[in-house]
Amino acid sequence: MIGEALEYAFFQRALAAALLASVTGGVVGSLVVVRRMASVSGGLAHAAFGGVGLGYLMGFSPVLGATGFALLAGLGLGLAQRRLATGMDTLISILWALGMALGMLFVALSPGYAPDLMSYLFGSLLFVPGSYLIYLLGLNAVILILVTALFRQLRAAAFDEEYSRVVGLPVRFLDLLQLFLVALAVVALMRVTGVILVIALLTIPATAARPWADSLGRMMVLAVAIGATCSVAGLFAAYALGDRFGAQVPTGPLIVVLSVMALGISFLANRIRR
Amino acid sequence: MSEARTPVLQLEGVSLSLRGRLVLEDIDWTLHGGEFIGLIGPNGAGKTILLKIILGLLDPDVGTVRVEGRSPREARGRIAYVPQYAVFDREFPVQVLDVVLMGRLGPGFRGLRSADHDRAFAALRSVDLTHLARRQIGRLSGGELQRVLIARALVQDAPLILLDEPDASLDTRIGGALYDLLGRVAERSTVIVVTHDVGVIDRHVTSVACLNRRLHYHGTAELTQEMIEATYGKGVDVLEHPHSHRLLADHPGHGP
Repeated sequence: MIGEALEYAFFQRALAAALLASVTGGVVGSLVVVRRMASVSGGLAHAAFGGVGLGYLMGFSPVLGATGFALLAGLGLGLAQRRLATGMDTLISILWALGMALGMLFVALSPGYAPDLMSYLFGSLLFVPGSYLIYLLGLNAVILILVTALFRQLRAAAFDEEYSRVVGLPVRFLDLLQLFLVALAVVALMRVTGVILVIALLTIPATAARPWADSLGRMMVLAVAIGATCSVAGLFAAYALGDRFGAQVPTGPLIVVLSVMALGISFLANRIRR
Repeated sequence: MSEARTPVLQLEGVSLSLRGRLVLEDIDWTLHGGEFIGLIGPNGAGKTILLKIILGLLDPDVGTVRVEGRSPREARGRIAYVPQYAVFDREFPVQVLDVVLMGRLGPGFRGLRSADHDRAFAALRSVDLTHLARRQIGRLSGGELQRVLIARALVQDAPLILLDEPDASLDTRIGGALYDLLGRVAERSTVIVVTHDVGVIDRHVTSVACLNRRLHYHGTAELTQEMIEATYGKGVDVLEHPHSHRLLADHPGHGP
Protein backbone atom coordinates (compact mmCIF):
# COMPACT_ATOMS: atom_id res chain seq x y z
CA MET A 1 0.00 0.00 0.00
CA ILE A 2 2.85 2.35 0.88
CA GLY A 3 4.52 1.67 -2.43
CA GLU A 4 1.27 2.27 -4.26
CA ALA A 5 0.72 5.60 -2.52
CA LEU A 6 4.21 6.75 -3.38
CA GLU A 7 3.51 6.33 -7.08
CA TYR A 8 0.94 9.11 -7.10
CA ALA A 9 2.29 12.58 -7.86
CA PHE A 10 -0.18 14.17 -5.39
CA PHE A 11 1.12 11.91 -2.64
CA GLN A 12 4.74 12.69 -3.45
CA ARG A 13 3.90 16.40 -3.24
CA ALA A 14 2.13 15.85 0.08
CA LEU A 15 5.12 13.97 1.43
CA ALA A 16 7.56 16.68 0.34
CA ALA A 17 5.34 19.38 1.85
CA ALA A 18 5.05 17.46 5.13
CA LEU A 19 8.83 17.07 5.39
CA LEU A 20 9.54 20.71 4.53
CA ALA A 21 6.92 21.87 7.01
CA SER A 22 8.49 19.69 9.69
CA VAL A 23 11.81 21.46 9.20
CA THR A 24 10.16 24.84 9.68
CA GLY A 25 8.08 23.60 12.57
CA GLY A 26 11.05 22.09 14.38
CA VAL A 27 13.49 24.96 13.86
CA VAL A 28 11.20 27.94 14.44
CA GLY A 29 9.07 25.96 16.88
CA SER A 30 12.08 25.34 19.17
CA LEU A 31 12.68 29.09 19.33
CA VAL A 32 8.96 29.64 19.96
CA VAL A 33 8.97 27.17 22.84
CA VAL A 34 12.11 28.42 24.60
CA ARG A 35 10.89 32.02 24.21
CA ARG A 36 7.36 31.14 25.33
CA MET A 37 5.85 32.70 22.25
CA ALA A 38 3.08 30.17 21.68
CA SER A 39 0.23 32.64 21.97
CA VAL A 40 2.07 35.14 19.79
CA SER A 41 2.40 32.42 17.15
CA GLY A 42 -1.30 31.59 17.38
CA GLY A 43 -2.10 35.28 16.97
CA LEU A 44 0.07 35.60 13.87
CA ALA A 45 -1.44 32.45 12.34
CA HIS A 46 -4.98 33.71 12.75
CA ALA A 47 -4.01 37.19 11.58
CA ALA A 48 -2.67 35.53 8.43
CA PHE A 49 -6.17 34.28 7.63
CA GLY A 50 -7.20 37.89 6.98
CA GLY A 51 -4.67 37.85 4.14
CA VAL A 52 -6.13 34.62 2.78
CA GLY A 53 -9.54 36.31 2.58
CA LEU A 54 -8.08 39.42 0.98
CA GLY A 55 -6.42 37.23 -1.62
CA TYR A 56 -9.79 35.69 -2.54
CA LEU A 57 -11.47 39.11 -2.65
CA MET A 58 -8.83 40.87 -4.74
CA GLY A 59 -7.99 37.89 -6.89
CA PHE A 60 -4.37 37.35 -5.88
CA SER A 61 -2.80 34.31 -4.25
CA PRO A 62 -4.23 33.72 -0.75
CA VAL A 63 -0.80 32.40 0.26
CA LEU A 64 0.82 35.71 -0.62
CA GLY A 65 -1.96 37.53 1.23
CA ALA A 66 -1.32 35.36 4.27
CA THR A 67 2.42 36.09 4.10
CA GLY A 68 1.79 39.83 3.95
CA PHE A 69 -0.70 39.79 6.82
CA ALA A 70 1.48 37.62 9.03
CA LEU A 71 4.54 39.81 8.47
CA LEU A 72 2.54 43.01 9.09
CA ALA A 73 1.00 41.55 12.24
CA GLY A 74 4.49 40.51 13.41
CA LEU A 75 5.81 44.01 12.78
CA GLY A 76 2.85 45.53 14.63
CA LEU A 77 3.36 43.28 17.64
CA GLY A 78 7.10 43.96 17.62
CA LEU A 79 6.59 47.73 17.65
CA ALA A 80 3.87 47.53 20.30
CA GLN A 81 5.92 45.18 22.49
CA ARG A 82 8.16 47.95 23.77
CA ARG A 83 5.39 50.45 24.36
CA LEU A 84 2.85 48.16 25.98
CA ALA A 85 4.48 46.52 28.95
CA THR A 86 1.10 45.20 30.00
CA GLY A 87 -1.74 44.11 27.79
CA MET A 88 0.34 42.18 25.29
CA ASP A 89 -1.95 39.16 25.63
CA THR A 90 -4.96 41.40 24.98
CA LEU A 91 -3.35 42.75 21.85
CA ILE A 92 -2.61 39.23 20.65
CA SER A 93 -6.22 38.18 21.22
CA ILE A 94 -7.48 41.18 19.26
CA LEU A 95 -5.13 40.39 16.39
CA TRP A 96 -6.24 36.76 16.58
CA ALA A 97 -9.95 37.60 16.31
CA LEU A 98 -9.52 40.45 13.85
CA GLY A 99 -7.59 38.27 11.41
CA MET A 100 -10.30 35.62 11.41
CA ALA A 101 -13.10 38.21 11.19
CA LEU A 102 -11.48 40.03 8.26
CA GLY A 103 -10.79 36.73 6.51
CA MET A 104 -14.39 35.58 6.77
CA LEU A 105 -15.74 39.00 5.72
CA PHE A 106 -13.42 39.18 2.70
CA VAL A 107 -14.40 35.67 1.66
CA ALA A 108 -18.12 36.49 2.03
CA LEU A 109 -17.66 39.56 -0.16
CA SER A 110 -15.75 37.62 -2.81
CA PRO A 111 -17.62 36.75 -6.00
CA GLY A 112 -18.41 33.05 -6.38
CA TYR A 113 -17.32 30.64 -3.73
CA ALA A 114 -13.90 30.03 -2.22
CA PRO A 115 -12.78 26.59 -3.39
CA ASP A 116 -9.92 25.87 -0.97
CA LEU A 117 -11.18 27.76 2.06
CA MET A 118 -11.26 24.70 4.29
CA SER A 119 -7.71 23.80 3.34
CA TYR A 120 -6.50 27.15 4.67
CA LEU A 121 -8.46 26.68 7.88
CA PHE A 122 -7.63 23.04 8.57
CA GLY A 123 -4.96 22.15 6.05
CA SER A 124 -5.01 19.64 3.21
CA LEU A 125 -1.69 18.04 2.49
CA LEU A 126 -3.18 15.73 -0.12
CA PHE A 127 -4.20 18.66 -2.32
CA VAL A 128 -0.99 20.70 -2.18
CA PRO A 129 -0.28 22.25 -5.57
CA GLY A 130 3.25 22.13 -7.01
CA SER A 131 3.52 25.93 -6.91
CA TYR A 132 3.01 25.91 -3.13
CA LEU A 133 5.77 23.37 -2.79
CA ILE A 134 8.20 25.72 -4.48
CA TYR A 135 7.05 28.55 -2.20
CA LEU A 136 7.54 26.28 0.79
CA LEU A 137 11.06 25.46 -0.37
CA GLY A 138 11.82 29.18 -0.61
CA LEU A 139 10.41 29.89 2.87
CA ASN A 140 12.47 27.05 4.32
CA ALA A 141 15.61 28.39 2.68
CA VAL A 142 15.05 31.91 4.05
CA ILE A 143 14.28 30.60 7.55
CA LEU A 144 17.25 28.24 7.65
CA ILE A 145 19.70 30.84 6.34
CA LEU A 146 18.55 33.44 8.89
CA VAL A 147 18.54 31.03 11.83
CA THR A 148 21.93 29.56 10.92
CA ALA A 149 23.59 32.93 10.32
CA LEU A 150 22.26 34.51 13.51
CA PHE A 151 21.93 31.41 15.69
CA ARG A 152 24.09 32.66 18.58
CA GLN A 153 22.48 36.07 18.58
CA LEU A 154 18.92 34.70 18.46
CA ARG A 155 19.72 32.23 21.21
CA ALA A 156 21.38 34.86 23.40
CA ALA A 157 18.41 37.23 23.12
CA ALA A 158 16.03 34.38 23.89
CA PHE A 159 18.10 33.13 26.82
CA ASP A 160 19.10 36.30 28.64
CA GLU A 161 17.78 39.54 27.22
CA GLU A 162 19.30 41.78 29.88
CA TYR A 163 22.80 40.45 29.38
CA SER A 164 22.37 40.56 25.59
CA ARG A 165 21.75 44.28 25.94
CA VAL A 166 24.82 44.60 28.17
CA VAL A 167 27.12 43.13 25.53
CA GLY A 168 25.52 45.35 22.91
CA LEU A 169 23.47 42.91 20.85
CA PRO A 170 20.71 44.60 18.84
CA VAL A 171 17.99 43.05 20.99
CA ARG A 172 15.10 44.99 19.46
CA PHE A 173 16.11 43.92 15.98
CA LEU A 174 16.46 40.31 17.12
CA ASP A 175 12.99 40.40 18.71
CA LEU A 176 11.57 41.66 15.44
CA LEU A 177 13.50 39.06 13.45
CA GLN A 178 12.11 36.38 15.75
CA LEU A 179 8.56 37.58 15.01
CA PHE A 180 9.30 37.59 11.27
CA LEU A 181 10.56 34.02 11.50
CA VAL A 182 7.32 33.00 13.21
CA ALA A 183 5.30 34.83 10.56
CA LEU A 184 7.12 32.98 7.77
CA ALA A 185 6.75 29.68 9.63
CA VAL A 186 3.02 30.24 10.03
CA VAL A 187 2.64 30.59 6.27
CA ALA A 188 4.81 27.55 5.66
CA LEU A 189 2.72 25.40 7.98
CA MET A 190 -0.66 26.78 6.92
CA ARG A 191 -1.26 24.16 4.23
CA VAL A 192 -0.34 21.29 6.51
CA THR A 193 -2.60 21.97 9.47
CA GLY A 194 -4.47 25.12 8.53
CA VAL A 195 -4.21 28.42 10.39
CA ILE A 196 -6.29 27.09 13.26
CA LEU A 197 -3.88 24.26 14.03
CA VAL A 198 -0.57 25.88 13.01
CA ILE A 199 0.28 26.48 16.64
CA ALA A 200 0.33 22.70 17.15
CA LEU A 201 3.24 22.08 14.76
CA LEU A 202 5.14 25.03 16.21
CA THR A 203 4.83 23.90 19.81
CA ILE A 204 4.23 20.16 20.11
CA PRO A 205 7.29 18.63 18.37
CA ALA A 206 9.61 21.16 20.04
CA THR A 207 8.07 20.53 23.46
CA ALA A 208 8.43 16.77 22.92
CA ALA A 209 12.09 17.28 21.96
CA ARG A 210 12.99 19.55 24.85
CA PRO A 211 13.60 17.05 27.67
CA TRP A 212 15.99 15.13 25.41
CA ALA A 213 18.14 18.02 24.26
CA ASP A 214 20.85 19.83 26.23
CA SER A 215 21.38 22.41 23.50
CA LEU A 216 19.08 24.45 21.31
CA GLY A 217 20.58 23.03 18.12
CA ARG A 218 19.89 19.46 19.24
CA MET A 219 16.40 20.45 20.29
CA MET A 220 15.78 21.76 16.77
CA VAL A 221 17.09 18.61 15.07
CA LEU A 222 15.06 16.37 17.35
CA ALA A 223 11.93 18.49 16.92
CA VAL A 224 12.30 18.27 13.13
CA ALA A 225 12.60 14.48 13.39
CA ILE A 226 9.55 14.17 15.65
CA GLY A 227 7.52 16.52 13.45
CA ALA A 228 8.53 14.66 10.30
CA THR A 229 7.67 11.28 11.82
CA CYS A 230 4.23 12.45 12.92
CA SER A 231 3.49 14.26 9.65
CA VAL A 232 4.51 11.32 7.47
CA ALA A 233 2.67 8.86 9.71
CA GLY A 234 -0.42 11.06 9.61
CA LEU A 235 -0.23 11.31 5.87
CA PHE A 236 -0.01 7.55 5.38
CA ALA A 237 -2.73 6.95 7.95
CA ALA A 238 -5.07 9.35 6.17
CA TYR A 239 -4.30 7.70 2.85
CA ALA A 240 -4.83 4.19 4.28
CA LEU A 241 -8.13 5.11 5.93
CA GLY A 242 -9.35 6.54 2.63
CA ASP A 243 -8.07 3.59 0.62
CA ARG A 244 -9.40 0.83 2.89
CA PHE A 245 -12.57 2.27 4.31
CA GLY A 246 -13.37 5.15 2.02
CA ALA A 247 -13.15 7.47 5.02
CA GLN A 248 -12.28 11.08 4.18
CA VAL A 249 -9.98 11.86 7.11
CA PRO A 250 -8.38 15.31 7.11
CA THR A 251 -4.57 15.05 7.42
CA GLY A 252 -4.04 18.15 9.57
CA PRO A 253 -6.07 17.10 12.61
CA LEU A 254 -4.66 13.58 12.31
CA ILE A 255 -1.10 14.93 12.43
CA VAL A 256 -1.96 17.07 15.45
CA VAL A 257 -3.38 14.08 17.35
CA LEU A 258 -0.32 11.96 16.48
CA SER A 259 1.97 14.77 17.62
CA VAL A 260 0.23 14.99 20.98
CA MET A 261 0.66 11.22 21.32
CA ALA A 262 4.39 11.63 20.59
CA LEU A 263 4.51 14.34 23.24
CA GLY A 264 2.86 12.02 25.73
CA ILE A 265 5.39 9.29 24.98
CA SER A 266 8.26 11.76 25.35
CA PHE A 267 7.02 12.93 28.74
CA LEU A 268 6.36 9.42 30.00
CA ALA A 269 9.76 8.19 28.84
CA ASN A 270 11.39 11.17 30.50
CA ARG A 271 9.52 10.47 33.73
CA ILE A 272 10.69 6.84 33.69
CA ARG A 273 14.29 7.86 32.90
CA ARG A 274 14.49 10.16 35.93
CA MET B 1 50.65 68.18 25.01
CA SER B 2 49.54 66.13 27.92
CA GLU B 3 45.85 65.79 28.52
CA ALA B 4 43.92 64.39 31.41
CA ARG B 5 42.90 60.79 30.94
CA THR B 6 39.18 60.24 30.30
CA PRO B 7 37.70 58.72 33.45
CA VAL B 8 36.56 55.14 33.11
CA LEU B 9 33.40 56.06 34.94
CA GLN B 10 31.90 59.43 35.67
CA LEU B 11 28.55 60.01 37.35
CA GLU B 12 27.35 63.54 37.93
CA GLY B 13 24.31 64.45 39.99
CA VAL B 14 22.59 61.11 39.34
CA SER B 15 19.20 60.70 41.03
CA LEU B 16 16.45 58.19 40.45
CA SER B 17 13.01 57.63 41.94
CA LEU B 18 11.18 54.35 41.52
CA ARG B 19 7.50 54.08 42.40
CA GLY B 20 7.58 57.38 44.20
CA ARG B 21 10.59 56.50 46.34
CA LEU B 22 13.91 58.26 45.95
CA VAL B 23 16.34 55.36 45.42
CA LEU B 24 19.48 57.22 44.44
CA GLU B 25 20.18 60.82 45.37
CA ASP B 26 22.66 63.17 43.77
CA ILE B 27 25.46 60.73 43.15
CA ASP B 28 28.80 62.01 41.94
CA TRP B 29 31.42 59.37 41.31
CA THR B 30 34.56 59.48 39.22
CA LEU B 31 36.84 56.52 38.68
CA HIS B 32 40.05 56.94 36.71
CA GLY B 33 40.80 53.28 36.12
CA GLY B 34 42.57 50.49 37.97
CA GLU B 35 40.42 50.68 41.06
CA PHE B 36 39.11 47.57 42.78
CA ILE B 37 36.07 48.81 44.60
CA GLY B 38 33.92 47.09 47.17
CA LEU B 39 30.43 48.60 47.09
CA ILE B 40 28.53 48.01 50.29
CA GLY B 41 25.23 49.14 51.69
CA PRO B 42 22.15 47.73 53.39
CA ASN B 43 19.51 45.80 51.47
CA GLY B 44 17.40 48.15 49.39
CA ALA B 45 20.13 50.79 49.36
CA GLY B 46 20.04 50.97 45.56
CA LYS B 47 23.25 49.05 44.81
CA THR B 48 21.77 46.96 41.98
CA ILE B 49 19.94 50.03 40.65
CA LEU B 50 23.21 51.94 40.55
CA LEU B 51 24.88 49.15 38.58
CA LYS B 52 21.97 49.06 36.14
CA ILE B 53 22.25 52.81 35.61
CA ILE B 54 25.96 52.46 34.83
CA LEU B 55 25.06 49.65 32.39
CA GLY B 56 22.41 51.78 30.70
CA LEU B 57 19.69 49.28 31.61
CA LEU B 58 17.99 52.05 33.60
CA ASP B 59 18.04 55.79 32.96
CA PRO B 60 18.44 58.24 35.84
CA ASP B 61 15.80 60.94 36.32
CA VAL B 62 18.52 63.56 36.39
CA GLY B 63 22.27 63.54 36.08
CA THR B 64 24.71 62.14 33.56
CA VAL B 65 26.58 58.88 33.29
CA ARG B 66 29.74 58.58 31.22
CA VAL B 67 31.70 55.41 30.62
CA GLU B 68 35.03 56.18 28.98
CA GLY B 69 33.47 59.52 28.05
CA ARG B 70 30.50 57.96 26.29
CA SER B 71 26.90 57.31 27.27
CA PRO B 72 26.26 53.85 28.72
CA ARG B 73 24.40 52.83 25.56
CA GLU B 74 27.32 53.86 23.36
CA ALA B 75 29.64 52.03 25.74
CA ARG B 76 27.76 48.74 25.40
CA GLY B 77 30.19 45.87 25.34
CA ARG B 78 32.78 47.94 27.29
CA ILE B 79 31.17 47.06 30.61
CA ALA B 80 31.10 43.49 31.87
CA TYR B 81 28.36 42.43 34.23
CA VAL B 82 27.63 39.64 36.66
CA PRO B 83 23.99 39.91 37.77
CA GLN B 84 22.98 39.08 41.31
CA TYR B 85 20.33 36.59 40.27
CA ALA B 86 20.16 34.42 37.21
CA VAL B 87 17.23 36.09 35.47
CA PHE B 88 16.97 33.38 32.84
CA ASP B 89 15.23 30.03 32.60
CA ARG B 90 17.46 27.40 34.19
CA GLU B 91 15.89 24.76 31.92
CA PHE B 92 16.93 26.61 28.76
CA PRO B 93 18.71 24.11 26.47
CA VAL B 94 22.13 25.74 26.44
CA GLN B 95 25.51 24.48 27.60
CA VAL B 96 28.00 26.18 29.89
CA LEU B 97 30.51 26.94 27.13
CA ASP B 98 27.84 28.63 24.99
CA VAL B 99 26.69 30.75 27.90
CA VAL B 100 30.28 31.90 28.45
CA LEU B 101 30.67 32.61 24.72
CA MET B 102 27.76 35.06 24.97
CA GLY B 103 30.32 37.39 26.50
CA ARG B 104 32.18 37.41 23.17
CA LEU B 105 29.13 38.54 21.22
CA GLY B 106 28.86 42.24 20.68
CA PRO B 107 27.29 45.01 18.68
CA GLY B 108 26.51 43.86 15.17
CA PHE B 109 26.36 40.27 14.03
CA ARG B 110 29.92 39.10 13.98
CA GLY B 111 30.42 35.37 14.29
CA LEU B 112 32.78 33.71 16.74
CA ARG B 113 36.29 32.58 15.91
CA SER B 114 38.48 29.92 17.46
CA ALA B 115 40.23 32.67 19.44
CA ASP B 116 36.89 33.35 21.14
CA HIS B 117 36.66 29.69 22.14
CA ASP B 118 40.20 29.85 23.53
CA ARG B 119 39.24 32.89 25.61
CA ALA B 120 36.10 31.13 26.86
CA PHE B 121 38.09 28.08 27.91
CA ALA B 122 40.67 30.27 29.64
CA ALA B 123 37.86 32.00 31.57
CA LEU B 124 36.35 28.65 32.51
CA ARG B 125 39.78 27.49 33.67
CA SER B 126 40.13 30.58 35.85
CA VAL B 127 36.90 29.69 37.67
CA ASP B 128 37.80 26.00 37.67
CA LEU B 129 34.92 24.82 35.50
CA THR B 130 36.46 23.42 32.31
CA HIS B 131 35.17 19.96 33.18
CA LEU B 132 31.58 21.25 32.97
CA ALA B 133 31.93 23.07 29.63
CA ARG B 134 29.41 20.83 27.88
CA ARG B 135 26.90 20.59 30.71
CA GLN B 136 23.40 22.01 30.34
CA ILE B 137 23.13 24.96 32.72
CA GLY B 138 20.15 23.52 34.59
CA ARG B 139 22.36 20.71 35.86
CA LEU B 140 24.73 22.98 37.77
CA SER B 141 24.71 23.86 41.45
CA GLY B 142 24.04 27.46 42.45
CA GLY B 143 27.74 28.09 43.06
CA GLU B 144 28.74 26.55 39.72
CA LEU B 145 26.20 28.68 37.87
CA GLN B 146 27.51 31.76 39.64
CA ARG B 147 31.02 30.94 38.42
CA VAL B 148 29.70 30.48 34.86
CA LEU B 149 28.29 34.00 34.99
CA ILE B 150 31.61 35.30 36.31
CA ALA B 151 33.44 33.55 33.44
CA ARG B 152 30.96 35.06 30.98
CA ALA B 153 31.79 38.53 32.28
CA LEU B 154 35.55 37.86 32.25
CA VAL B 155 35.61 36.94 28.53
CA GLN B 156 34.20 40.34 27.68
CA ASP B 157 37.69 41.79 28.33
CA ALA B 158 35.98 45.01 29.35
CA PRO B 159 37.74 47.98 30.99
CA LEU B 160 34.95 48.13 33.58
CA ILE B 161 33.51 45.07 35.29
CA LEU B 162 30.52 45.17 37.63
CA LEU B 163 29.69 42.24 39.90
CA ASP B 164 26.52 42.16 41.96
CA GLU B 165 27.12 39.97 45.01
CA PRO B 166 29.10 37.35 43.10
CA ASP B 167 30.00 35.61 46.35
CA ALA B 168 26.39 35.13 47.51
CA SER B 169 26.21 31.44 46.61
CA LEU B 170 29.90 30.56 46.92
CA ASP B 171 31.46 28.90 49.92
CA THR B 172 34.28 30.66 51.74
CA ARG B 173 37.10 28.84 49.97
CA ILE B 174 35.79 29.46 46.46
CA GLY B 175 34.77 32.96 47.43
CA GLY B 176 38.36 33.64 48.50
CA ALA B 177 39.64 32.25 45.19
CA LEU B 178 37.17 34.50 43.38
CA TYR B 179 38.55 37.62 45.05
CA ASP B 180 42.12 36.58 44.28
CA LEU B 181 41.00 36.22 40.66
CA LEU B 182 39.28 39.62 40.70
CA GLY B 183 42.44 41.11 42.15
CA ARG B 184 44.30 39.94 39.03
CA VAL B 185 41.50 41.26 36.80
CA ALA B 186 41.78 44.61 38.56
CA GLU B 187 45.35 44.92 37.30
CA ARG B 188 43.95 45.80 33.88
CA SER B 189 40.29 46.67 34.48
CA THR B 190 38.30 48.69 36.94
CA VAL B 191 36.33 46.33 39.17
CA ILE B 192 33.24 47.25 41.17
CA VAL B 193 31.94 44.45 43.33
CA VAL B 194 28.82 44.61 45.47
CA THR B 195 29.34 42.58 48.61
CA HIS B 196 28.08 42.16 52.14
CA ASP B 197 31.34 40.63 53.24
CA VAL B 198 33.40 43.26 55.02
CA GLY B 199 36.25 40.77 55.26
CA VAL B 200 36.57 41.08 51.49
CA ILE B 201 37.04 44.81 51.93
CA ASP B 202 39.74 44.24 54.54
CA ARG B 203 41.71 41.85 52.41
CA HIS B 204 41.13 42.55 48.74
CA VAL B 205 39.76 45.85 47.53
CA THR B 206 41.72 49.03 46.96
CA SER B 207 38.82 51.27 47.88
CA VAL B 208 35.42 51.05 49.41
CA ALA B 209 32.19 52.79 48.50
CA CYS B 210 29.17 52.91 50.79
CA LEU B 211 25.73 53.41 49.32
CA ASN B 212 22.49 54.16 51.02
CA ARG B 213 20.64 56.36 48.56
CA ARG B 214 23.69 58.63 48.73
CA LEU B 215 27.18 57.46 47.93
CA HIS B 216 30.12 57.80 50.30
CA TYR B 217 33.42 57.31 48.58
CA HIS B 218 36.84 58.56 49.55
CA GLY B 219 39.01 56.44 47.31
CA THR B 220 40.49 54.47 50.20
CA ALA B 221 39.91 50.99 51.52
CA GLU B 222 39.40 52.25 55.01
CA LEU B 223 35.88 51.68 56.24
CA THR B 224 35.43 54.32 58.87
CA GLN B 225 32.84 54.24 61.61
CA GLU B 226 31.61 57.52 60.14
CA MET B 227 30.92 55.87 56.74
CA ILE B 228 29.21 52.93 58.39
CA GLU B 229 26.96 55.21 60.39
CA ALA B 230 26.13 57.32 57.36
CA THR B 231 25.19 54.18 55.45
CA TYR B 232 23.72 51.81 58.01
CA GLY B 233 22.67 54.20 60.76
CA LYS B 234 24.04 54.70 64.23
CA GLY B 235 24.79 51.82 66.54
CA VAL B 236 25.96 49.40 63.87
CA ASP B 237 29.35 47.80 64.23
CA VAL B 238 31.35 45.52 62.06
CA LEU B 239 30.52 42.06 63.28
CA GLU B 240 33.66 40.09 63.95
CA HIS B 241 33.65 36.54 62.69
CA PRO B 242 36.54 34.15 62.07
CA HIS B 243 35.84 33.75 58.35
CA SER B 244 33.83 36.71 57.27
CA HIS B 245 33.04 40.03 58.76
CA ARG B 246 29.43 40.81 58.14
CA LEU B 247 27.62 43.94 58.95
CA LEU B 248 25.09 43.45 61.67
CA ALA B 249 22.48 45.43 59.77
CA ASP B 250 22.41 42.76 57.07
CA HIS B 251 20.57 40.44 59.36
CA PRO B 252 16.94 41.40 59.69
CA GLY B 253 15.79 41.49 63.29
CA HIS B 254 19.24 42.40 64.61
CA GLY B 255 19.23 45.95 63.36
CA PRO B 256 19.67 48.98 65.57
